[in-house]
Amino acid sequence: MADLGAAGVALALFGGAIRASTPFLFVSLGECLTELSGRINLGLEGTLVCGAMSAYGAALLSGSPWLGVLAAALVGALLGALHAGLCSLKRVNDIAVGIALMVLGTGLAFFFGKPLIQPRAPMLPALHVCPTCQFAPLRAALDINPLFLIGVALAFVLRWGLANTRPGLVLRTVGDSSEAARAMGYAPLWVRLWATMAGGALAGIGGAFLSLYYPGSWNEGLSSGQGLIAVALVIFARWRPLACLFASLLFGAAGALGPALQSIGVHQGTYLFNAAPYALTLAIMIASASRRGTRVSAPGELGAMH
Amino acid sequence: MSLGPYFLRPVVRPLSRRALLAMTSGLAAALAPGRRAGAAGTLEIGFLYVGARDDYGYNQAHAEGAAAVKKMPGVKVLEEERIPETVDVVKSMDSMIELDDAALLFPTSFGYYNPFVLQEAKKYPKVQFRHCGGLWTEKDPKNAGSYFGYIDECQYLSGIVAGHMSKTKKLGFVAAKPIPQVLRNINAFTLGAQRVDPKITTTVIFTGDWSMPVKEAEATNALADQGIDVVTCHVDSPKVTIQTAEGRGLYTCGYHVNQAPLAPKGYLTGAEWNWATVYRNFVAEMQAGKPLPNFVRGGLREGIVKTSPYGAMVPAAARAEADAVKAKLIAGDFVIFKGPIADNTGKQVIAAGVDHGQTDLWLEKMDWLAAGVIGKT
Amino acid sequence: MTASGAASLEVAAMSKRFGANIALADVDMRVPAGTLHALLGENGAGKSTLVKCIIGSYRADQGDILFDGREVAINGPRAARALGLGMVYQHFTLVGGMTVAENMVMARPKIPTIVNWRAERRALEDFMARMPFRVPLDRRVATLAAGEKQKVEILKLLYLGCRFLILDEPTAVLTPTEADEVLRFLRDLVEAHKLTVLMITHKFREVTAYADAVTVLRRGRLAGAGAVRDLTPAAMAAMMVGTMPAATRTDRNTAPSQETRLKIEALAAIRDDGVAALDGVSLSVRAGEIVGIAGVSGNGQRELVEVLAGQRRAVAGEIRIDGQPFRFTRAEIRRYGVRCLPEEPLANAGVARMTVAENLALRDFDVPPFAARGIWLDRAAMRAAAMLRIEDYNVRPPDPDLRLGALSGGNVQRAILARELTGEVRVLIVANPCFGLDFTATAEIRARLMAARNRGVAILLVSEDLDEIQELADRILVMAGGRIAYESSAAEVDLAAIGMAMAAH
Repeated sequence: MADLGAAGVALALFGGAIRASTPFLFVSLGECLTELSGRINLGLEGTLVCGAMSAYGAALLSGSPWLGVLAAALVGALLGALHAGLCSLKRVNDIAVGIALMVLGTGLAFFFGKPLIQPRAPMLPALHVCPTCQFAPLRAALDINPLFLIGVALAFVLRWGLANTRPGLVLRTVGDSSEAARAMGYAPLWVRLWATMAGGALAGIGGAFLSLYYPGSWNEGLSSGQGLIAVALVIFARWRPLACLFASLLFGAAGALGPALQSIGVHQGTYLFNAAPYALTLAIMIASASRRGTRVSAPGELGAMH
Repeated sequence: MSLGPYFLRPVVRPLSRRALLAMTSGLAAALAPGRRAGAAGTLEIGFLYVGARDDYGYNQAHAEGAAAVKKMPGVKVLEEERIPETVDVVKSMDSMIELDDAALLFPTSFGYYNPFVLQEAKKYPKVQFRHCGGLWTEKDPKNAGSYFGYIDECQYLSGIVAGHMSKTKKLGFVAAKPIPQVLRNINAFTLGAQRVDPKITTTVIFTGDWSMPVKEAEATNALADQGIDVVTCHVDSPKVTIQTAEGRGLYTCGYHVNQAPLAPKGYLTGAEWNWATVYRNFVAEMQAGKPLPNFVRGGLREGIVKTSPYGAMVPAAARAEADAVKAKLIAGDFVIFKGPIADNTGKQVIAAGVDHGQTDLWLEKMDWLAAGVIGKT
Repeated sequence: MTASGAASLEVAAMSKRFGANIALADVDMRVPAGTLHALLGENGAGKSTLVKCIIGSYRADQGDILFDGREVAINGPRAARALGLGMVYQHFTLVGGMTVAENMVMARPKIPTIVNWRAERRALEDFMARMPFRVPLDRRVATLAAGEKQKVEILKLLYLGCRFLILDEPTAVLTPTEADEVLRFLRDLVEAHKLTVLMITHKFREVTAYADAVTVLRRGRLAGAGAVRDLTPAAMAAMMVGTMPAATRTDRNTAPSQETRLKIEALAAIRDDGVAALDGVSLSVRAGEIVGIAGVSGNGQRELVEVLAGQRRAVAGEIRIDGQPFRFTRAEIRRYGVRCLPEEPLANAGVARMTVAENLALRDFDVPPFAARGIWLDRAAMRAAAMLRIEDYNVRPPDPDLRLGALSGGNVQRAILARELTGEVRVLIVANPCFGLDFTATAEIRARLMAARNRGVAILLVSEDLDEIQELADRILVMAGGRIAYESSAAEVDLAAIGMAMAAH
């Protein structure tokens, strides 16, 4: 096999973007929906981990990985409903609830996930986009999970739906001005309940991808903060689904950078490259926070005390 | 150790054991004044793990040893998992000692030793602490000690098999951090392979921490993309690396425990721990009232490490060569780190004619990678 | 009368009480179809309660509503909307993050699941083509000026087919030019018998120029009603306040001194969305002078006040007081006696959760006599000083321990002005000081400003109310596009030139 060298890094970034971006993508799209409704759900890291565990367990018991994905979505929606329910109470702060739910979700997942570490659950299949590719690394990079494609499609559907459908417009109205929404006869709390449940379901699916496809096993160290990073991504993406997609791909690729560089013998700054996704998060937050447009494009109700 | 958002750990975990212990034993003390926890004649032994104890890896290997201890008469085994290498481990040790009367503790993770285990040993001179992997010296408290296995012997044997199987002559190694034990494994694996063909190289990828599933998968994929065809690893749980490599059609050598069920097509052999031997010895000596040794080391010969059974794809020639070396190692007349050995910057680290046998403490301070290893400490 | 033309409204014997407080007692009102009717009254007279009872936001305790001659029971804004009865609130009900087109479509009672934007746009453009003023359909509402938002609110209701429109102080946030444009437009629709309008207002000028008839409320009761042509402003004012208001006007009694107190040179600042707001503003204010800055809202006035209040950083330029550079430290503010009454003082110059006494002490709580003993505050002294200010400035209710947020808008304005005019004041920045205040409060605050000027304070007055500027200012400047576009002494002012300068942008 040919020595790929630097071209291999490019290929690794491409492959990494496809392989590792899916959890970011689902969580960030979910959070995007929730935040557009005027709520912040910081608990999606917990939802992600809980979804990963539920998916693994359900796939193991039923023998079908897709039932696992469904279970993850249901568990995610339930955690979302819990968040929305708590936040609909007076004087309850959504950020505090989110942090509590992050701990709860992680704790539940660890507790129920104990017997799931050893057994092997059926994995989600990959679509071999290029089964006849002569070049093995490219063939491997083009093994694409259907969830990735669904996530990409979802980003486009959300973008379209937020501008062109009644639910999309209602969601944005509620997120921007509860007053206006109420004046139009919509119930902000209900809209937020649905948005938070949908967000939770998507985060759960993101977790299912982790445990049922890549890296494809359940253990307590499965998530390295993807759920938290994805929440930050939404702000970076200025609440635009397509930008969430782009940011997720970028973060997936950034995660592949450290290993890929080491594999071709670049060892300077190993720790820095390994920390690339986290460093990138910080850099982006600083860059986007100092941009003057931030306040203008944020949903008006975000972070408001209800 | 990494478990996603790092700060979650102390929040989630203490809800489990310590809080319950504090409640129940406090209650027991209140109900039965004067009675100390831990019935007389029972030896209370604590095992502390850094991760989940069924991780298909490092912690599972220790937990299997603890399970062997549980079967011994007159002992009670306490276990606590997912203890970060921070002051948390001190709290866990305190609770095992204060609340459960534990007399012998096995803090199993490398990062526990200095300063946490040493501190605790000074604080509780009557409690015995034996740590896995640390380097106990005469200056350290006498009630502390360390044990470790020469698993590099098994890595050397894995290297021989890998050398026979590799077509591209490029091997891969997914490692957590460049600490002496990891470097020693990488070097032994490489030297074993170079015995078959001196041109063989090993590409190392450091993931930065002991449990980084996505990064380990990415590292394995990156190795596969570079045309590497045999992969092994030194992380807490080799599960992800072995599974990913199997998915990419690579051969794998396992670590910590036998991962053959995870990779039926590519699992060649592996380096496994057999902690049951060490733990049973310590406990038996403690029960017999004998002083515990402070410094325990051993390899294939002492039964502290073992190799996984060969996969069906391993040809007779490879098996024969590996078995021959293994026999010599067990007999005690084979030296892995035998001069001349140069490191991968071209500097000679072991001069010709110099042997560093397994018990040589110089090896436990290893800070170099052998020629042929692509990587940097 | 067809369902598409203007509708009439009649209210008979309407009453509403909140606990022991009678908000509305036995009020009658008749608004014939195709008229523009003004509802007058001081703050708290019951105007808002009356319209909320009509629109169904409140349920009246008693009384009937006849819409188009038929008795109707309206149980909420949606039901009102279904009848063709719409309301434009003082606070906008637009969604800032959405475009004008999205807002107009969202307001419809039934929105299809999938919005066909091509068809919607065609309908909206057809509708806009029939309207006398145009609003860009693709702009995000948050980026529109207040006047434009008001237009969108009205257009939205017209687009929904309203036949009777209630407006709560529709011109309060508009410049005189914008106000005239909006009212002219409403007048045209009324005369074309397409619409009937009921509008709450304080401004007699608008009533005499545009309304057909008025209903005046005082303390929840009907104080008078009649055709505008039969009433003088003085008579209407008398109905509102009960007697003719005493002349609270303070006259200009000195000429400004020659000493330049505040000097701004080539000041530049950037708006939150990154667009340049101030583009080289230079001006000066002398001691004992009021300099008024007029202009259409959104031309940099807000940012100018923010820079002068120390809330926004200037990207270029210089501010000098007494010839010394001024950098907004607390020490400098104290040394030069710089004070500020910004727009929305509750948000910009007060702390809603603190008491009135604490708010009144914000300028000097950290110096003697309030902080005489090191870091300990003398709360008793603070409270006593606050009582004096409260009495002096007639803040209602006169309770220094009330949270500032519990006060009405006019009283917050009085309280903050009391604080800002206490002590050695040498420079005062004021923005829209009478915004949303009633007749009495407005007159009182203007008199205070004039008195301060007469004492030698240099006052920079930024206002969207040209009448106010003409009444108070010694010199008039017009801001347009972030620059000073016109300058004249008040005596020689040319209204046509001001209009040109305001429109220049």
